[in-house]
Parts: sequence; structure tokens; C-alpha cells
Amino acid sequence: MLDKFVQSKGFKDVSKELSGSIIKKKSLNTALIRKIEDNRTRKEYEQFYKMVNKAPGEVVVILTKPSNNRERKKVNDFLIHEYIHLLLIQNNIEFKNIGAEQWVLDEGLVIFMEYYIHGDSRKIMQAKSEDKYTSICLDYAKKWAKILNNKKPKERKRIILNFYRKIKEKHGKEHLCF
Amino acid sequence: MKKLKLLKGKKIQKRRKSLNDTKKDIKELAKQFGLKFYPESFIFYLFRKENLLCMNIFQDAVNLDTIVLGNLLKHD
Repeated sequence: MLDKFVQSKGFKDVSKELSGSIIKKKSLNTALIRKIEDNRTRKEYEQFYKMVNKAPGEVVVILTKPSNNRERKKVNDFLIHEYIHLLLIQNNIEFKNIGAEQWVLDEGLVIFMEYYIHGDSRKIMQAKSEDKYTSICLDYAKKWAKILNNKKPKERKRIILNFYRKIKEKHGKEHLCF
Repeated sequence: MKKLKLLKGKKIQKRRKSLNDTKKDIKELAKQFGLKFYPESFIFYLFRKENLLCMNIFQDAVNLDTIVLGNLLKHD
């Protein structure tokens, strides 16, 4: 199944792009690694697991190695995105934990904070994307912008945490979103 | 809205060249959102593209037969 997937067009398209991810130490499964037949890949994973286990904290950021100058220039943007996820997780803000379908709230918040870090948090309302996935995330980022722009730091935190609590309380009972 | 001190104008473009500065930006961002910042855990690892995608699969898939590309994309 995995081999088939790796050979698929979908996988090849996605693997052309630079990407980043957050890995939680508790999710690492060494039993699966032993099943990797390819020596190079298995060793890379084993080394990675050792490194991750030594890393401070429970969550680790990983990025794909850039393969050309164009990608090298973009690495920092991906790093910022993943670091914001990390920052939120460390502050116990991860909507995905409430329910997998809440991932858009995480992505929206991260994208809003990305705009903020670049000093563009007001421009987000004009942002558009033709890509369906990015477009959904942008919609949620705009919703966050509406409730977080022009607020003081403590107020922002309070709004996010209150919203988190509400979503948690209503989860499974009724749909709640902004 | 208060502008970030560290992130004004063209200066930021130059500063972004240094990955260490990213950490400083995140620290300032944490301040602006009233969040706690733990600098020691802001490190990252580079991974071959194919393996990063497989890592996402490992993380997500309890049963490998359930893998769909959508699951993978959610983590980008």
C-alpha cells in the first residue's frame, strides 16, 4: 500500500513542493521503522528518531531539505509557519486536539499570525488563493483577523483561550464557529 | 495596531536571511499575543522530501490501508 502510494502521481506532485511538519515525540512508532525495507531510508529514520528523542520539549519541527535556490529562499517562510504551530502547541492551543475536523482553526490562526509577523495583518482581508486548501485556510485566517486585530496582547490570548474552551464544550453537541 | 519593533520595512527582508532571527520574531510574536515562549525548543531538523511525507503517514496512520492524500495535506 505504502509503495503504491509513493509511486502515485499524487505523491509525486506533493513531494515536489517544499513542506514542513510538527512531530510529537509520543507519536513516533519505532515498530513501523523496523518494517522499512530500504536501508538508506530506515537509517535516516533511525537517526532522526534518536535526534528527536534528545531534543528538548515534546514537539519537534521538521522541514524538507531545499533542493535549489528558489526553495532555499522559501525555507524561512515554512519555518515561521511551523514555529507558530509550535508556539501555539506549547501554550496548549491546538484545536485539532478537540476534534480532527477543527484543523482549519489551527491553520487559520497560524496564517493570521504569519501575516501579523510580517506586519501585514490588515492586508489579510484582501488575500485570495485559487488553491482550494489555501483558500479555506485563508477564510479562517480572516475570521481570526476580525476578532484579534486591534487588540492588546493579553486580550488576544484571552479571546483565543475563551474560543478554545467554547469549541471544546460544544464539541460533539453542536457546531460552533466564530 | 501596534507594529512589531523588530519587523519594520525593508530591514526585515535582510534580517530574514538569518534563521536565528526567525526565533527572535517568534519571541516578539509571542509577546504580542500574550503567549509563553520557550526558546530552547525552537529548533528544527531537515529531512529528505520523500521521507518527510512518509513521516506524516507514519504519524497519522494507525492502519496503513486508511491512508489518503487528504490526511497528508492537512499537515502541511
